[in-house]
Amino acid sequence: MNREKKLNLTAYILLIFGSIMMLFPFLWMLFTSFKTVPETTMIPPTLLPNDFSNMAAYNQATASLPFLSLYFNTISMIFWRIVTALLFSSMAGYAFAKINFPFKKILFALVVSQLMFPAQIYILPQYEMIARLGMADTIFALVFPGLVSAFGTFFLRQAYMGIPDDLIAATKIDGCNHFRAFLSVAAPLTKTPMAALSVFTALFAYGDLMWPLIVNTKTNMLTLSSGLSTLRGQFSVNYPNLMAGSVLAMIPMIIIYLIFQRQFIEGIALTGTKS
Amino acid sequence: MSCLKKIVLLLAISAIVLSGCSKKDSSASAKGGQDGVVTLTMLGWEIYQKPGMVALAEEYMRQNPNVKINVDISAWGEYWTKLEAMANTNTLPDIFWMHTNEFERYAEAGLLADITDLYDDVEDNYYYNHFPSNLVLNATYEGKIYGVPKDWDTIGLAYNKDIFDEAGLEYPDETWTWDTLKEASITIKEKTGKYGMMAPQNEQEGYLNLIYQAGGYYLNEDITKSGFMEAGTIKGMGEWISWNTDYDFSPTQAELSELYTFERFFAETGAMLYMGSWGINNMYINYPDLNWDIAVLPRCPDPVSGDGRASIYNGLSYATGSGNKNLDVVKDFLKFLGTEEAAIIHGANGAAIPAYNGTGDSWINNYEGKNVKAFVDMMDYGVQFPYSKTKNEWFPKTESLILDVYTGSKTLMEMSQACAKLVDDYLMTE
Amino acid sequence: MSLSTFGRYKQKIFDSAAGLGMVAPTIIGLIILNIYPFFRNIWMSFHKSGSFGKWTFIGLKNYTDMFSSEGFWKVTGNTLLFAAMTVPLTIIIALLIAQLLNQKIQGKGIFRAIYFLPMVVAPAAIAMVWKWMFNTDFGIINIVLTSLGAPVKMNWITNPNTVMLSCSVVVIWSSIGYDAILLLSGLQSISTTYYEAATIDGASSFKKFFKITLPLVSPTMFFVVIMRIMAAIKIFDIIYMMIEPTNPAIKNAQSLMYHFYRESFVMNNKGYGSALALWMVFIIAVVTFIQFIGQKKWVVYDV
Repeated sequence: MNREKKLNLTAYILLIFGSIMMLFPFLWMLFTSFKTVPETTMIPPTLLPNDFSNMAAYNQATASLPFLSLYFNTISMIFWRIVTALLFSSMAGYAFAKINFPFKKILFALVVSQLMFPAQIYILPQYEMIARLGMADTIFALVFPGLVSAFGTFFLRQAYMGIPDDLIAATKIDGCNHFRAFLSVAAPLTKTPMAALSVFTALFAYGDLMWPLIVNTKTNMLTLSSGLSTLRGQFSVNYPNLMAGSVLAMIPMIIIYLIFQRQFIEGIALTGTKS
Repeated sequence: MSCLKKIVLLLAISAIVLSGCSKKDSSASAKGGQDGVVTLTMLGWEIYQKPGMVALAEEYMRQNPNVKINVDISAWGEYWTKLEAMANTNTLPDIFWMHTNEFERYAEAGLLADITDLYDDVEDNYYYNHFPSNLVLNATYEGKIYGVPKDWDTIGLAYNKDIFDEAGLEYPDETWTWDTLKEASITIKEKTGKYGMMAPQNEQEGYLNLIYQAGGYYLNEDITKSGFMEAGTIKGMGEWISWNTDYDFSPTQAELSELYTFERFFAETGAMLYMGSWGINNMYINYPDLNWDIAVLPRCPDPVSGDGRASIYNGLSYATGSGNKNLDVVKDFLKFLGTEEAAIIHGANGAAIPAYNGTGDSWINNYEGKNVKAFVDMMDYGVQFPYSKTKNEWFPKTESLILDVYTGSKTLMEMSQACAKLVDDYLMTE
Repeated sequence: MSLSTFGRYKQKIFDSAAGLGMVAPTIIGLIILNIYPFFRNIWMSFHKSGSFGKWTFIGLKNYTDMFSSEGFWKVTGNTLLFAAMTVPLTIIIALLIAQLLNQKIQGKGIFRAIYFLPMVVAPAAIAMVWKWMFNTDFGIINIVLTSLGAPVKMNWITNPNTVMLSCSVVVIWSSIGYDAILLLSGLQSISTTYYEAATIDGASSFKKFFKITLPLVSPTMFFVVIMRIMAAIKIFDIIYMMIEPTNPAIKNAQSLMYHFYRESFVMNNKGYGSALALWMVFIIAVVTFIQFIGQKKWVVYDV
């Protein structure tokens, strides 16, 4: 009993110490964003800004980047990537799990083989295709590499495998049983894995830097990630401006995260265990 | 057969989803709206010139209410990667800045619109009558002109008067040589503890000036051979690097890569740096308390050849893509950009020294009490910023070789040999 | 309704049509987005890209250039070193956090949320704030260290000896939360009866950890290890945002992807970039192969 308490105390101390380490960079970002450049290069340095109402850095960051467009582009990219990943992957995942059809093994092997390759080898040809289509600087270009998802297909197939065949068989009424079964039974039963896939897709789309950097070059078509890279180019080491931009880029995702925190974390945990 | 219908339905949903997300952003590309307004995008790389660009756009829009011009800025570090991507995808901005480093590649590939006869209805030989001839040449490829000269720049010595006062030193003037600069820097470091001359690894605002001052060169006249192994080049390059590596009056390259010369100058922890004329606008507007001024570059006291004076001189131009959908409208705007009126707006907003002959004062007058005239004076011995068709490929490689000298992993001679071979190989392919 | 031969035949056709129809978008998409690009990439690697989309065949030159270039082996070495520095540490720390979170403690949800936070922030922003914290003269890390009595200010990201370490710290910091969540779900699926039985046998918690926890969490850990190694080999954003091309330590920080980006999109050497991309596929294949061979030694699937 006593031992367990001691253990818990150690656990608390370690966890709290770790939490400080995790949170500090965000606080430092916030503090710096309210400072002036001379304030950041002062010796001895200060922890807190002189004036928390100094919005100069925010004004400069928003003057050089159209943040509203960046929010819109990022949200559109994430939204469409989720929609296409869910729609196509759930259809394919169901078919691979529950239907017998010709070439199933070969086609499934094709999907699995794509899990092995790093996405980077597709970048140059994908970029070339976007260029040929004349689709650079569009939302479509941002969504393009994520239109279908080998991971999503594989992941949802695992989920459908878990649904008992009897449940599917029970819905066999006419020749079109698979669609009815898919839409009315299987899809609703896999809401949790689908939510998990959405979170997974969203996080990776949001963090992706190289593809948006290459494919969308006009300032009003950047994503938050590639916008920050542009900001760094413009202000090099003007840290208040860079930190203000970072705070602005962070805010929407943090808010969504705080609201759906449980779904986020449980979704991610699911993507790990199901694979 | 409801099964087939459902397959069709699902595929149809897929198609709708696809078409939904493939909608083109309407503001991204120039197109005529319902009310006949043409939207154009102008792209440049210097954020502190944005007000000047906006002022030009506004004046043109006032005169031409059917045209809307958006000004976009993409920092130098990404500008060329982006412009290349835009060229590849046929999405070049309607008007973009062109730099000598890249001009020939774009012109050779046929990507730029020929605007040789832009002013034929105004007067013959307009370009050469109103712009310095080498600026026109910078935008000329095989006899055709592909750009309207925008501005020109030289490199000067920026210094902090307060730090000089603190160290009890006279301000820099045209009598200064490299030796004076070093002595003053040593004194500043001793007396104030602050940095004197800050010498980063930088081509245009750095070693290139010293190379030409010492009588060396970068590329020969007909761009067939590099000058890295010339005595003057080695002397100038070695001198510049030594200011950084052999003296403590300059921050080290490591320190400068974390906090560059400009930030240190603005924070008043360094007294001097070489600065392009395009850089002073930011300083003037954003650091009003800074007590700075400009002097001509110190000369080389013992050049291999020549009088020891040089300042790298370059000019930019405005260009447009040959495949532009609104070429007539864009050309009209370009035509406006090459007028005296536009040059004065450009200069009066402090953007950069306008290219149009005789409008330099519009820029100088912005900076009352500052000796920015030094930039204009240095035109007398300005050296055109050297470039070749493949510079975009060899330059990053020379940069990385030169960095090796700063870190001590190569000697000056090893680096010069390696650079000479590298650049010669590239020049052979041109 | 009995299943006549005709009925079975009809059923089969329906199944085939339904199955093929449902996988069609994904398969067509994969062919366009992955399979074709893969072969196109191989084709590109035998060509040199001229300005603005012109290609000339140069045979194996990209490969011979690549393998004979000193810089190439350096970036490969950097990348592997980077993986070696980040993967084990990330997983050990993540496992520790997961283990702590698996205790009976209050506020588990809050801790979990805090540790996961870096995952919802763009890596570009993370890189910039850490770069600022690592700043030699004005960065908070050196300020704290010197006030604690450190004799000299470290050049965290400009010293060739520490640059990789600094980048590693950032990557570890930003990924431990994610891995901890995955490992925690692995830990939670371990039945408590094992621990109860071990307690009755008088096993120490140390012994319990190595005899019960570690083997039973090993399948999850295997997944995390594979994912981490892949991510480490593909590292780009943190390095791209933290290290400027004029940083004297750049040679010790460049990763394969960073090199790929600079060659392909800055110097416009896309053929060489394709060869680099295939080299990365090769490395990942080898590492994954070793992992799958090695897993037999340490991953426990059934107890």
